Amino acid sequence: MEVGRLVADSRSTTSFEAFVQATAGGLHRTAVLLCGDHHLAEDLTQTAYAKVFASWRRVASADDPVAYTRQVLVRTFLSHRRLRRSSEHPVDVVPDLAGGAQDGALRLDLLAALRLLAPDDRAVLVLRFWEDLPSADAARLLGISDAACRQRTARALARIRTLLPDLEDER
Amino acid sequence: MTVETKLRSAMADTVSRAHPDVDLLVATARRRGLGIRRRRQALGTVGVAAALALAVSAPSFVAGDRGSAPDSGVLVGTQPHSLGDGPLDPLTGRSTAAALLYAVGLQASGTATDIRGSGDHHMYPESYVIFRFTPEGSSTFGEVAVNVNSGLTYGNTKPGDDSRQQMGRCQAFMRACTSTRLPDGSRLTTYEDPSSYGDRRGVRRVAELYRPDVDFRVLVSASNGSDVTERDEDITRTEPVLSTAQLVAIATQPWWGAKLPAYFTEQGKQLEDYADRSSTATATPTANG
Repeated sequence: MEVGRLVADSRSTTSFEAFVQATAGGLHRTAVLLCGDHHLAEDLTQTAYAKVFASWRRVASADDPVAYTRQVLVRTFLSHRRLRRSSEHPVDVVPDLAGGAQDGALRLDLLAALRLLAPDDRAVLVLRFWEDLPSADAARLLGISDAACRQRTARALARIRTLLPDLEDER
Repeated sequence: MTVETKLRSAMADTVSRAHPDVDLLVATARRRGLGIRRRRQALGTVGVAAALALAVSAPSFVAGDRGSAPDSGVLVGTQPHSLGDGPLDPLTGRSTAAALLYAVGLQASGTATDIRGSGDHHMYPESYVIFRFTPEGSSTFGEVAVNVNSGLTYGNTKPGDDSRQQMGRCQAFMRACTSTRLPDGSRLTTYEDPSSYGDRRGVRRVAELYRPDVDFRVLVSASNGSDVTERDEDITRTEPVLSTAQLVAIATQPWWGAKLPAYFTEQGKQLEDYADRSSTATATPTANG
C-alpha cells in the first residue's frame, strides 16, 4: 500500500518546506482516516507540522524524520481524544450501517465506520493496514505491548467487519 | 480476498482524492510552530514567577472550612453561595470551571490545580474543563473533569447517527455500569472506565446525565491520577478522588445547562490558575513533539 506511506526520503530534504511538500500527501491521508473527517484531518495535519516546525532543527537531524512526524500526528490525535474524550462515544456493540452495501457504498461508509470506532481502535487499524506498520512498530508508537497491539487489531477488525459487512472474508 | 486486503483497498479508495493545500499547510504550520516556540520561551522565563504569584494569591475562590491550607492552587471548600434565581450567562470554559469547582466544593474539600478548559462557542453551547484535585488530608491527586454538551454539539449529527439513542445505555467498555431513568425523564448513567495501559490500575469514574427534553448532557468524571486511560497515564492513588455518589451529586446540580448562573461567570473571571485550551483542541501541549 505504497500510496498510504509517507514515501519521501526525508533525509534528502534540506528545508521544512521541502519536507512538507514531500510528505504532506501521505500524512494528510493518514489524518483523514484517523479523524474520519476532512476538516479535522486538515487541522490535525497542520498541528503535527506546527509541532515539527517548532523543533525543526532536532527533527531534521533525527534518524527518521518521517516516522517522527507520523508519531507526532498519531499522538496528537490521541491527545486530542484526551481533551475531548468525554464528547466521544466509542461503541462496543456497533450498528449494522452498511447492510449489504455495494462497493461504492463501502467506500462512502468507511469514514463513517471508522468514526464509530474508539480512537485507539481507529489508530491501530490505520497504522497496521494503511501505514502497513508491523505490529511491533505500531505497538511502540501507541505505547502498548506487541501482544496488546495484536489483540487490539483483532478487536478493531472484528468491529469494523460488523459495520461494513462487505469486508467479510471470501476465503 | 481477505478482510485485511479489502480494508486496505477501501482505505486507499477513500482517501485517493484527499490532497492538502501544501502552501497553506506550510504557512500555517510555520505560524503555529512559531507560536509554540514563543510559548516555550515565555514559559521558560515566567514559569517561576507565575508559580510564586499563584502561591501567594491562591485562596481566592469558593472558600470554606478547610483546615490546613495547601501551598498553592485553588482551595475548594464547603461554604455554598446562594445562587437563587439570578441571571444566566452563556456557557464558557471559565464559567464551567467555576461551576465545577463550586459543585466539587459542595462534596469534598481539597485543592484544585492545573485547571484547563475550552468552550466559548456562542452558537453551540459546549464546554470541557479538567483539573487536578487533591482531597484535603491527602498527598495524592486525581483529575476531575466535566463535559457539557447542548443540542447539536453532542456527537455526530449526520443522518443515521444514533448518539442520542446510546445515551443512558451501558456499553461493554463500561465497568460497574448502572443506568437509571429519573422522575423528570433524565437518564443517569454511572460507570467506571478502566485503563488498558500499564498494570491496569488506572480508572476513570463517571456520572453522566442526559436530558432528552432539551437534548442536554453533562458528564462528570474523577480519576486516580493524571491522563488516566491514556497511553502516558500517571497513576497516583488506588481510588479516584471522588466517589460515584459525589459525581452523581455534581452531575445532577440544577444549574447545568446551555447557560450558567452569572455568579459563575464572575467567579470564572477571577480564576488565576486557568488555561484556555479552546484554540489548541488538537494541539495539547503534552503531546510529543
